[in-house]
Amino acid sequence: MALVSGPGRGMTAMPAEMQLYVDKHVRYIQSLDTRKDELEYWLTEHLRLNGLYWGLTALHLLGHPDVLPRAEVLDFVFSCLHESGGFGAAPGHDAHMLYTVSGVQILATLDAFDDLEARMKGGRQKIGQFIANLQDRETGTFAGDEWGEQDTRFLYGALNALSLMGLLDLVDVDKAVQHVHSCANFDGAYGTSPGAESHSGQVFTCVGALTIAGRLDLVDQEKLGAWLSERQLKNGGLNGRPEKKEDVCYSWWVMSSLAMLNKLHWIDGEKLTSFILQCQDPELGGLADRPGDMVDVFHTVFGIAGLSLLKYPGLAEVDPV
Amino acid sequence: MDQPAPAAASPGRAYKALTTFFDEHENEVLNIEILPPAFPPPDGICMQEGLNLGVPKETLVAAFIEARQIFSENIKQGPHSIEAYKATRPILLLDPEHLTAANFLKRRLEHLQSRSQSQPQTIYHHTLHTHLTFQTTILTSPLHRQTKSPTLWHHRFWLVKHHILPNILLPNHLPPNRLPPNPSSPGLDVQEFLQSELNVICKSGERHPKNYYAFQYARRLFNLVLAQRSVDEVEVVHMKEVLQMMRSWCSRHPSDISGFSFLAWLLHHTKNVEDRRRVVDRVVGYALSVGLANESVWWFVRTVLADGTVGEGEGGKEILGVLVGWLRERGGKSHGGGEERGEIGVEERVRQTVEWVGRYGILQPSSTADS
Repeated sequence: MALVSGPGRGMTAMPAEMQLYVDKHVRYIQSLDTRKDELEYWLTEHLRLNGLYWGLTALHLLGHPDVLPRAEVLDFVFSCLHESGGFGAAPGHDAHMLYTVSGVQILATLDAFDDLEARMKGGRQKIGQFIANLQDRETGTFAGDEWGEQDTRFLYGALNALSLMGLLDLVDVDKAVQHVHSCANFDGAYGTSPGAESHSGQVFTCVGALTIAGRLDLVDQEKLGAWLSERQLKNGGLNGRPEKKEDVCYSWWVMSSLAMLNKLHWIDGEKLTSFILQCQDPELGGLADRPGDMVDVFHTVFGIAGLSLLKYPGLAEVDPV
Repeated sequence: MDQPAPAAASPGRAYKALTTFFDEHENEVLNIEILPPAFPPPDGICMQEGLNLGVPKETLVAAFIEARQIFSENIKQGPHSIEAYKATRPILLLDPEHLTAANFLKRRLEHLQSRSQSQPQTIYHHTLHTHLTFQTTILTSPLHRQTKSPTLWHHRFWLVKHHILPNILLPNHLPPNRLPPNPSSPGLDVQEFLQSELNVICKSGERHPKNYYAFQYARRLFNLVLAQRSVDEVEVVHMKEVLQMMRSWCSRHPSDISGFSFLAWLLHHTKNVEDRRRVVDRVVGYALSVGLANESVWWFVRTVLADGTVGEGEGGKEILGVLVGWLRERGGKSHGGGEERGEIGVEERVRQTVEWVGRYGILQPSSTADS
């Protein structure tokens, strides 16, 4: 998933002591919205609001929360808000759970719910209702939009956004919990729906949802911990499923899941830290999915979040949920 | 030998060229490839040969820029806009996660359906067929990102659930393929449709290995059809044949965790325990005879042996016994260079499998028989 990428670079010998190039990453993120002449900018219009959330979060973790101008960020966020209370990826794009969650997360990060109220009376409630209306009251799971695709990603997103807004009571949390539980597979991990293939990303969403609901007791923690620890490869990186390549974003999906289960030590943290640092572009900033590839803001935020979980010095503390 | 490269296509020219090609072949599945920079097309836009289209990335991008413009201008007209409809093709081809374009297509189909009043051979049925065909083109062409797109795969499921299957099951229906309609046996048409969809899924799984959403579509599709159980007294899903096809595919793609996950899922939905045991038996037999050390193969074996798929008693114990016996025979001899390179060899995989099944195996057979 390339999102306003930097140029590729070849692999050169890495020094034994690796550092985190904080300033380079900050400048990289700052430059993202200025690349309107690059076609990647238009090709990724369908997730612009997600990208903004990823960039903003990375900056907060790096200790530079005020680098993006607040007023401009909020202007863009509100330009994505529909009358229905849902957010689209960019102006003119259809509303969907994925972008709505990013919208709420940005508002929460910037403490901007008053600004929301000024733009849209009763905005918080409207957004909450948009999300709540997407719950399938029979099965407890959530659709992404009116067209009905159901996926545990949307369930987690819904619980996350609603809890940030203090509106969890708008949905049937117990039913949602039951649904997540029905997505547990025999190998200990979780998929997008009951019986679906186990995937680290879905593990994060399911364990995250159960954590928000206070129901981690439903997880087979030992089996899941074992499956997650099998994600670490010889090079220290983590993959998402058996026989997939390592990818820095799994530093987040896998590690946050382990953190929620208090099993962070089931992964070799030193090897992983070294892997994440090798994914940096030391000249132009940003992180890539693996060393030598093109960087993008998605992999930047999740690599840095992984480092934060591993208690890398100088980073703000991240909440695994 | 070195000639100046032809000028790259302007957005307008690129869009027109692609649109014309798609229109000319709207009833056929195409094979679209991205041409590497070393092979520019002579006309600077694209290369066409029968149903094959070779397109440099620059052409796709130029067409996308034009399409995006046309789409945002015309979407305001509403779902009947042909211009917006045609623009969705280059948009989704280059940017398969473009939700708004995919949603427009849904609205258009609903709009056409509401105007068609169940009459055969209307523009609704025509659009349904050409649209599904174009979707198949994107999902089966050698396009790495596109073939795994969750947006496109769910869009296909939505199409099938709300439009294709209901149309197959109507009297005097129009089937979504070129074979003559067979109104006396919609059940056979569903069977045939399912088979052709499996072919699409597997082809897509080859274009993009470990294709999560292709096989997620497979599960959703089967759930939908299995709920019907039989149409017109024709058992629409011949599970034995499907299992045989998937088992064979997995054997040819032993690193494909998505293929094996789907195979395990199929077993969970197979009524006959003997049928299930036979599949597992063959996978184990093949893996041992070839010496497969792929993590995905052994994930499959350990899971189905432990979760009761092959039943308690003779079935499960027998296969486990085969593994234990095989280990005993090997007795710690080293085979191949894999172990020296630090990779996990087949003996270690089998050992881990036996251990995992011992630790997590359930004693009761799973209740997969009653679905």
